[in-house]
Amino acid sequence: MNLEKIRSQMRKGVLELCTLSIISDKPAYVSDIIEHLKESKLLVVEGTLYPLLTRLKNDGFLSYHWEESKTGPPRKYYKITLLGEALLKELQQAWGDLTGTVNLIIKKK
Amino acid sequence: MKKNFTVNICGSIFNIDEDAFEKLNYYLEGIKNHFKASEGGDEIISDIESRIAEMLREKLTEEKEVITLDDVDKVIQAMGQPFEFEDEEEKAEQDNLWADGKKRPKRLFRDGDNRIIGGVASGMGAYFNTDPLWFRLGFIASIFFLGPLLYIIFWLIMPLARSTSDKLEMRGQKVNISNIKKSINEEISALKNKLDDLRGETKDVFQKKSENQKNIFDQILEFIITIIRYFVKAIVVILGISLIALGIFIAISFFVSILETDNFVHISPTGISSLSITMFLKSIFANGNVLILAIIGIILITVIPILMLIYAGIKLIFNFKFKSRFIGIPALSLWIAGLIICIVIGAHMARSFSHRVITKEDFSINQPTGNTLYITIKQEQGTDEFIEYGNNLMFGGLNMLSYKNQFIGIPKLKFIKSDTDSFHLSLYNIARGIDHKSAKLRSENIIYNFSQDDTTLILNPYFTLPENELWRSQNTKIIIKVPEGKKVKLGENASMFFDYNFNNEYIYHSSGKSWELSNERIEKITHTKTIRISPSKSRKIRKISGIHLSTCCSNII
Repeated sequence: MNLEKIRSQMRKGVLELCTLSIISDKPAYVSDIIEHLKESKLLVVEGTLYPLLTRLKNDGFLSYHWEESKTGPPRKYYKITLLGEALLKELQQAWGDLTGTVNLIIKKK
Repeated sequence: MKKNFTVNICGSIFNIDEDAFEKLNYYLEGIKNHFKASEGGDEIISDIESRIAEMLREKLTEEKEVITLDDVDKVIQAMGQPFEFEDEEEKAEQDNLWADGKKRPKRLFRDGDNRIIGGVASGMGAYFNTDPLWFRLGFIASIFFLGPLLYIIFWLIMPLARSTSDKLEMRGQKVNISNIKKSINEEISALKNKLDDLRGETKDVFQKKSENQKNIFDQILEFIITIIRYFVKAIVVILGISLIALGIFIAISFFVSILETDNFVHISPTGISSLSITMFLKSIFANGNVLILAIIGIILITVIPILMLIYAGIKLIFNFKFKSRFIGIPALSLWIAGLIICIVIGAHMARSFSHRVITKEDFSINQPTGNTLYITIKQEQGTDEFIEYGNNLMFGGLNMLSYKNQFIGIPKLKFIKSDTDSFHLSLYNIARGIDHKSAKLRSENIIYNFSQDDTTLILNPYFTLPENELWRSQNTKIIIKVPEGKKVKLGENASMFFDYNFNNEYIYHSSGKSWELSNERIEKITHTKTIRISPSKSRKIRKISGIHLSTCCSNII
């Protein structure tokens, strides 16, 4: 088992939660999301995000619209849907449970 | 100085260095390949492209107008390689993609990289996606049956996977740049491993080894294949030359035959003879237009196959590529046209031969004083050659020849028993025509002469037709009636003529012999001693006085 792999799997688990959270604040442009995620070191390569966003959009958790940009071509802005908010709540709940349990286990040591 | 490209990424224009372009292009190719099969793949790809465009735009400043390799490297690093995209579902689909998303059919190649002998079993293993061990075991198990033969056949028919794209197809992977690069990288790393294995050995040894890597089996096989190839090539060339020669020969004969107008059958002093189709047709057709049409028809159905023969020969030898439908279809059409012409004319001609009439003329001849009637053939210059030719021609009913611009035919001679005590001679003239009247007229027009002095009957060797008479299967039969107990003796000079009539090998050189009628059959007797032979009873060949005799006598009557 290599460390990087474990880390990557941990990140993968929470990536959807974090992405949904970022978008739920306000409609977000991909670069914004990436910046957020990178800051928190949740994202190693950007490529990971695109399939995830597309999948969430196709499943109806996200929607998007195009917005004109001053510096370049129109940008895709993602917005959370009602369904997405429901999912987010579920995930936050799950995350809360998980971190609680995990912390409990870790602190026991 | 660097070469520069202008690219359009998601609506933005970039100037990019050649090396940077190649790297970026390859990377995007990989991305496309990765997402192509997945749901919403196009969207993902365009999102990624637009993000790349954005990142590249950030790299440009007023001083820096061109995207460099370094920029591209940084972008790729940020975006990550397809295999780094940590998405469980996509991963599963990626696996499908390796197995070939579009279900492109695999091809059966020999796998030279994993071979033991020729790579047949390893190629099969790659094709069926199983361990080649099973195929190897199969070949070994059937070593005393068809195994070795099958192995050789597979070896010959399965191409060796030489190029990288061959190898990808062999494993059923899609042939595209990224897969090829992947495959090449694998090969390079395999080679590196090999090099590591060989570390310690000198470089020379390694080079020598790589030269010898060509399997000894392959070398032998290549040698055999080369020999077979040359052999086949030689046969093809010989066949081609033969076809051309045959075609030219037939063409020459045919044109001589068309152009030769003097004689239906031409007999030259050297014995070279030819058959004139033109003359033959001229003697059949009353109408000149029909004659021309018939010649055209015959030329079409004859010349076209000859030309095709020559064409095939040339094609074989020079192995040139020419769309054969430009030759084949017109040739076939013309040939069929010729065939139709010939059939129509042939049907028309058949009517002209529909009626057959025989007219009979009886002649009383001077009776010989003794018991024996001598028969000789009137000798003229060229008679022998002519008769010999007729003898060889064997046209069956067509014993008509044009000789020295005159139509002549060889009559048939028969001996039968006479009702009376005297010799008789009857002529049966036979001809055909479109109706009874014309047939009768033609049969009466047949000219045949004979003469007699003392005891000898002198027969003309041929009958003739009046000038401009058409050939309608005219024929003449000479029937000589021989009284019982009397003999017929054939003259020495008549050998050819009688050979023609008694066309039977057992009665060769029958001239100079005597013939006698007994039991209503003509029988042969020797000079010295009369031997009666009844060949009709046994119908077997007997050898008497060194001469073979058989059923010939019964044939005569």
